[in-house]
Amino acid sequence: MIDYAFKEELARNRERVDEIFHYEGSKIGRGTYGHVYKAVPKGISSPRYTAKEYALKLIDSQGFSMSACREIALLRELKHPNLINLQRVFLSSERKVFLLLEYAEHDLWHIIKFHRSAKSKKAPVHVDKGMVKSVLYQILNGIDYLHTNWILHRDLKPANILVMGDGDGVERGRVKIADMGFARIFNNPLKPLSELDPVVVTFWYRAPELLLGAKHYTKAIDVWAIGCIFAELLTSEPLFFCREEDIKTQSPYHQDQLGRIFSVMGYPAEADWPDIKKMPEYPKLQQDFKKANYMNCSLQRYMEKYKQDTNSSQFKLLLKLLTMDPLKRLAADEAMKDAFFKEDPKPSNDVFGCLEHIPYPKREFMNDSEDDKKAQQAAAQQQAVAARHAAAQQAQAAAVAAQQQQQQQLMQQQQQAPQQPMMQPQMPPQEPAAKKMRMMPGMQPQPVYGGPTAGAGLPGQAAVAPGMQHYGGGPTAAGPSGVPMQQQQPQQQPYMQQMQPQQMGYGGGFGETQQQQHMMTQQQQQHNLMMQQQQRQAQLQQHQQMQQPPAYGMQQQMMPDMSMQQGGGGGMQGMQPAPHMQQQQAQMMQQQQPMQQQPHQMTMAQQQQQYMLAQQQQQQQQWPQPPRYT
Amino acid sequence: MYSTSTQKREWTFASIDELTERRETANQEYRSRFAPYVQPEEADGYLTTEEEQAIIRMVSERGVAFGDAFRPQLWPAIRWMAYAYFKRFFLVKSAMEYSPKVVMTACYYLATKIDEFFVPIDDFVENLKSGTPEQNKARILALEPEILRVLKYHLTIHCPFRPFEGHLMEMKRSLLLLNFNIESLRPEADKFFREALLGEAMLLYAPSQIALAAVKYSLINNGKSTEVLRDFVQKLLGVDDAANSNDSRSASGAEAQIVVEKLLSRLEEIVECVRAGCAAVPSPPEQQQLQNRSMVWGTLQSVLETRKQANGSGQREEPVDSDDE
Repeated sequence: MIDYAFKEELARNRERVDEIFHYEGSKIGRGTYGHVYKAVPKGISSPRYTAKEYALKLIDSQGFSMSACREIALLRELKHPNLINLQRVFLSSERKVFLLLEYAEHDLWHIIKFHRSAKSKKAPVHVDKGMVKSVLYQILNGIDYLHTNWILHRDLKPANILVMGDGDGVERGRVKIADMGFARIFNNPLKPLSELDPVVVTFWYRAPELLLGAKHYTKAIDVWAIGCIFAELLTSEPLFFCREEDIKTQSPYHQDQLGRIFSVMGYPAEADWPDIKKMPEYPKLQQDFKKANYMNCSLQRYMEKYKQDTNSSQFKLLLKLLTMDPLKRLAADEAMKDAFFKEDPKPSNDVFGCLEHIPYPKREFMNDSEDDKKAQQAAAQQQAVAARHAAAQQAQAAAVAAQQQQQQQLMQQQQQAPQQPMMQPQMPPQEPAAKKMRMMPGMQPQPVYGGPTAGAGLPGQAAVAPGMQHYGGGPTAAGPSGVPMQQQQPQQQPYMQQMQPQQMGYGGGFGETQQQQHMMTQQQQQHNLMMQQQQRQAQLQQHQQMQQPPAYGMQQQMMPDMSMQQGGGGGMQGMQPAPHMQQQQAQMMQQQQPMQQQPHQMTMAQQQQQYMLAQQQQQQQQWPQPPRYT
Repeated sequence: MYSTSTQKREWTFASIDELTERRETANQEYRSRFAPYVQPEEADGYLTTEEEQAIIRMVSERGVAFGDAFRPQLWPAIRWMAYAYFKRFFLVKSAMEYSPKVVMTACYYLATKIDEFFVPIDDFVENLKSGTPEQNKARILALEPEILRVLKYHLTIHCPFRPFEGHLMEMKRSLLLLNFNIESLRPEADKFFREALLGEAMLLYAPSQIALAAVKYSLINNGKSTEVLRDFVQKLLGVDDAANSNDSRSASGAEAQIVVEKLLSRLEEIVECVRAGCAAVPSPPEQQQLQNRSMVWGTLQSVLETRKQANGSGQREEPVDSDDE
């Protein structure tokens, strides 16, 4: 080629990331469109890398894709203590782009999960009194900085809120907002933002106006997500937990998610949100929802169920962040001036505050099947059955394979659960589907035996499945089967089991719901709900793939018991189901097992693959085969 | 925000002298790579900084037309961004090392990505008249990482178009007694922004000031009094003219007036800068001369590369293609 010499020169000049950092086998997660590694500088060669640890984000695409360019362009302009800082960009000879970022040991997804787990075991976690306040304040601070720079984050969720750990030269307990991959400068009104990425914000944290078809992302949408995270910090449960029906939906309208919001917040009165009538999906809303069904719902009631003081300034601020009408919703800078932050304890830079020891476990490495075959083999030995399945399934479509493997392990898990409640499943990671859709070509969900990446994991899936069947997707949803909405218990969440695969010992569900579950199980034994179940199961799997997407997302081993000070209450105690419940579930799972391979599900997986293929083609168009820099 | 941007911090310079100095350094730096291999009588074959600039100027001229002809049609900010990258690049690198033409196309390609104007590379190279699509693709993609590196990954460009819209809106709001339609300023302002691509303005001034200079330029070319601009700038800076003259005791009023004057003279400066950059086009004989010079350099470069190779790693190298297709 003409530029041969030039390429040679470039390759020589290029500083090679693997000469400077040790990161092989240190994968800590999958980001929005890449893998994240923990990178340690290789001593002598790197006087300029003073920190002990970095996060190295490998972008999946070849070369500088548009989204990679966009993220780099943004990150280079941003400098704020509460935003993750881009230190450097590397390009490998294979045209792989690496972003060198600050390393943060913790994130809210794992922290909340830790507390949830502890709570269910009634073992309190000791945290600083002001922790939630400090976390919230710093999130607001970072987002306010973005907003004053006319940038929207657009994908706020616990997994994207990182917290610095202990260590020399590390700003302990500092919140760092990450994953600006979707962030966007929004002073450019040339095109409605929603047209570009029809589905962006994780559903649970998505503001009602988006669900009703708002064409533009706004600051208020980020603030809503902050409100959701705030509530989740207080209760350890996702405020608007909702299963996902169809991840491929291009429509922003999402009935179940809206239903869930209304069942917590109540249906908005016209005076509360006058412009709701102007929302594109308002006619559908009127069609699908009856205000009368939500008469008894309010955020106050919801939070009181979690033993939260609703006379506190804390609750009042939460209400202001979760205001339905985006025009009335508090702005980040206003929120920072709220009375809540003026009361003692005052927010601090170190969210762990007076706590000497950070109770949360450190990040663990995911075994990357390419980098770390040995570990995979070792794990495979431990889980011979699972491995056999993995092998058998290799020829199959990746998504299907992953699901089946989960099923298999799930069953094992369930059967073993009573004997081995603490067993940490060695199971394939469950890549959230939302993410999978954005995954770059060639990435398959690899069986990784370090535990499920996404945390939902599969026993969780198993555990939740019966609940889903019984409740028609929870009290808020009028499922396709016509299961009526059950307003009387809007707070019920099968989420608990889902998020805590290892909690199978506590398994079947919440105390309140047990009875229903039991009844329903009997009904099911009358078998006529079987078809419905299968559908649900399939939907559920889709759903589970969709959720739990840690930005650094990796799976922790099961955590020791503790419970968050603020979140200690909340109807979570005394919910141990009888052992026979577990057996029933296991039986049900066995019944369902063969059904999983039915065409219905294959089709969904195939569709997904097609989507990925289309993306791949697009990608290849943009990036032809890499020039060889030998 | 421009005030905290990398554009202001790292890529906006105090004077033309500073720009010249950097280009001189880039030129010297590149020459020095061949110092051991060049014979004294050959040194004449190097391009001077002035010659490099003249070549870059020629490429800039053609680059504007390239942007006009590009399909799908680009919006103006993309071209502005491409030019910002292009100019920054040649503050660091010599035009002897990198063909300005290829750099220009690669900068366009980069700008489309940064501004989310998605054009697949195959469609992009359809717009190039010379070279085969494969060649062009390979060149652009090979150059892209190098451009990013030279630009220090500072990719966010603040363009004057948005501030210009803001100024027009503000003028409509605050200047009520105008005897002409403010919208009529647009065509001449667009011309100003086109001309500004050729000169140094974007390396020297803030985008909002360039936008205001476009208003001034357009007023002049439309035969309007630039007093309108004074009124507007005073309102923009919150200086009340009448109150100020009545109350000369007010120190802050006087200071504010100084700020107004300073801004007005700055606008004058920008308009001058754009005119100068626009006028500095090499004449046809000069262009011919430059072509010859770059051919001479191309020959010398391959000789020098060969010597360097022979001395060095022994790798085979081919000349970097020159700019005179």
